[in-house]
Amino acid sequence: MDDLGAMNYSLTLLEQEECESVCARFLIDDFSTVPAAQLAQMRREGLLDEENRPRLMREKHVQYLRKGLAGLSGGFVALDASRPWLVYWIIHALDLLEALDDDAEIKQRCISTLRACRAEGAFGGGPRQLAHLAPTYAATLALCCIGSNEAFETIDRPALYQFLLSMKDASNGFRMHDDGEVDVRGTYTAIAVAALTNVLTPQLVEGVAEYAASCQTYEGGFGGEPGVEAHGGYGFCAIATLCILDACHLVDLDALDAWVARRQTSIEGGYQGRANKLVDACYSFWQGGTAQLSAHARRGDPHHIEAPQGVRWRPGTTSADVPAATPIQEIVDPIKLQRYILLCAQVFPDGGLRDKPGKGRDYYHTCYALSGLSASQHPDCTAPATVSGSPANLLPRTHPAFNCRPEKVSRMLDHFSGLPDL
Amino acid sequence: MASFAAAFADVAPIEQDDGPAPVCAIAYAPEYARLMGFFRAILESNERSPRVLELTAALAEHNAAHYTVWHVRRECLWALASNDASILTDELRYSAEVARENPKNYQIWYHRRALVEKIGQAAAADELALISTALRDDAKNYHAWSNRLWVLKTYGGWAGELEFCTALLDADVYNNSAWNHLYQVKAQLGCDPVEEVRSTLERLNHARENESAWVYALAFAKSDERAAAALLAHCEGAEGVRSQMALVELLKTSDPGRASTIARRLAELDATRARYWRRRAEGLGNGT
Ligand SMILES: [Zn+2]
Repeated sequence: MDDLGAMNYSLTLLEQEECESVCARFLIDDFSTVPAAQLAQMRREGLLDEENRPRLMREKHVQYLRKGLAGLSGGFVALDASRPWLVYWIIHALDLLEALDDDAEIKQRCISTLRACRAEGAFGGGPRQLAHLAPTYAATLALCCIGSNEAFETIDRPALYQFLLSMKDASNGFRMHDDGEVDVRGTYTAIAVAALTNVLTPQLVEGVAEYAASCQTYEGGFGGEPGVEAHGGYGFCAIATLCILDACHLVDLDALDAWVARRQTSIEGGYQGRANKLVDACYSFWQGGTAQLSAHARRGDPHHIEAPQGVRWRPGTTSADVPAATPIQEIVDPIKLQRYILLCAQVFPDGGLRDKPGKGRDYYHTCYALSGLSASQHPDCTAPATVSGSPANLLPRTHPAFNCRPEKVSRMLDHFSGLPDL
Repeated sequence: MASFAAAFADVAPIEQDDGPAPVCAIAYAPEYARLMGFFRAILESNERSPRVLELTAALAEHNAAHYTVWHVRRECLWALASNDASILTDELRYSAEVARENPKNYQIWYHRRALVEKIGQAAAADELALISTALRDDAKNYHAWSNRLWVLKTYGGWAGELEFCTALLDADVYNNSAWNHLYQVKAQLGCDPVEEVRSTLERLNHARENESAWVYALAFAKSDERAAAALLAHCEGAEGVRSQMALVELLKTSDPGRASTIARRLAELDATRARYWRRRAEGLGNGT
């Protein structure tokens, strides 16, 4: 090292170097160099396929997810105001693993649990809790994953619309709940729910795109409120809001792309949430989805009702026709990202996915790591998929603006577009 | 717990109804379940009293993310404070403790904001001090930085912020949150863009590949020609990948051909972003 000593001390650098060296131990290029006994275990437990290619441990993840539906220990009390989130994280992950649709009993039980969380026409974090936009979003998306008329009928659309309107703030952002914070997360969750239930009225959306756009910072990404540091989670909320509202012209997409491309870490391959922070698997979706939405915005897709299945969200078109669009030009490295998810984020041998090596698995990271894996396999829904490791790792697509399978999104849109205007 | 049972002896608890065969049911600790039974009854009766205030504190200890609990707590506080203003001062002390224990919790930081808003200007300076303490423990705490910006925008106090940012950047020049805050402070107080580039380059001396500093300098170069010229002069002949990235931005209008050539080279130097750099190179036309 140099002679600057203490002057050069940086906690950021120390943590980054530590993280890189830990991840490097998991990112094995050639598994034939691994000791035979260890290799045999990796194959037996499903981390590698018969050709020693990294494998998505589907069976183990499904097992872990189903265990969560069956019941959670007292340690989960910190999520007692996030019950609809738990349901959404788990059933969307199961849906991506193609383990939801045949399970009529689970779908039924999910509907009845979500019904118990209804409040003021929207949803609360649990039974008898105050209506809140985040669980309202999670519940709506969970019902979208379930996809039956019975699921859709759980939603009291006129009352939901009144709730959404009442959360709109003078800034044109949305408040999370009565006497709650206003930020771009509240804004996205309100707009996504309104889009899916077909209540995006002029009154609801007026000024909202401008609010989301005002959260773009000099870095190119978006913060949670105007002026606050650019952050992957809030950035996704902002660009998804703008895509849903067809208003991406309000922001600097070049600057956004430059920012999101810089968020992919070079050694680890996964994304960080902010500049000079550590990699975290949940950003596989938040940042990966942002890159995808930006690419679709550049191509003009959000403006076209005939946009390809997978990004189209406007109801009323069911034709499979795909416009002759220019191919999406990716800006990130999908193989590197997928290797991070498979080798660093999968918990071996128990299943479930995690933020990074050294952390425990949880349902949030399992959901968003799998969603990010899907997004990175399908950067362009009109082109062939890109799959790292075993070909059996291929997941179905997820809609980049809502994070639910596109055919499910279409089904929900078709249902609600058939209802009269409010 | 026994004391709560006594205090709420006149209240019939309401059990949680999850519906038939619920999913994701949590096996609550008996104490939490009992307290929640009283809390649900209070939600029905709308009682806002000192005992309810205590109940919310006990529940927040089990689950600090329980936003309904915090909401009811605020309603109690606002109701009780009309007779006794010291309630709010006590609450500042109590919630500072909770924030220290749950630094990444949305609800407690919003609670602080609501409390400061209620008290007004008089609480602003102490709030900045509390946030400074939180940032000593975690210099990138997103909630703390958001609240800091909110306090400044609402109540002023910008003058001390330059020193604050400098100290944090001296401690860790890679702290992107501190760079972002510095940018907000400069935007508020006004500054000379050339001077911003110069002082940033000085910090880059010891951290050549620090993205945060480069992006900060480029923001001033984007809005000011002299700042752009100063940064360009530094980048010409400078070592490192980030200086090449900066050159693409600085030359994209004045010399797109050269910018394109550099972008093409970056596709190799910065291989993770090869696709991005190739797209940039194409967009800039044919380099030489
Ligand atoms: Zn995460």
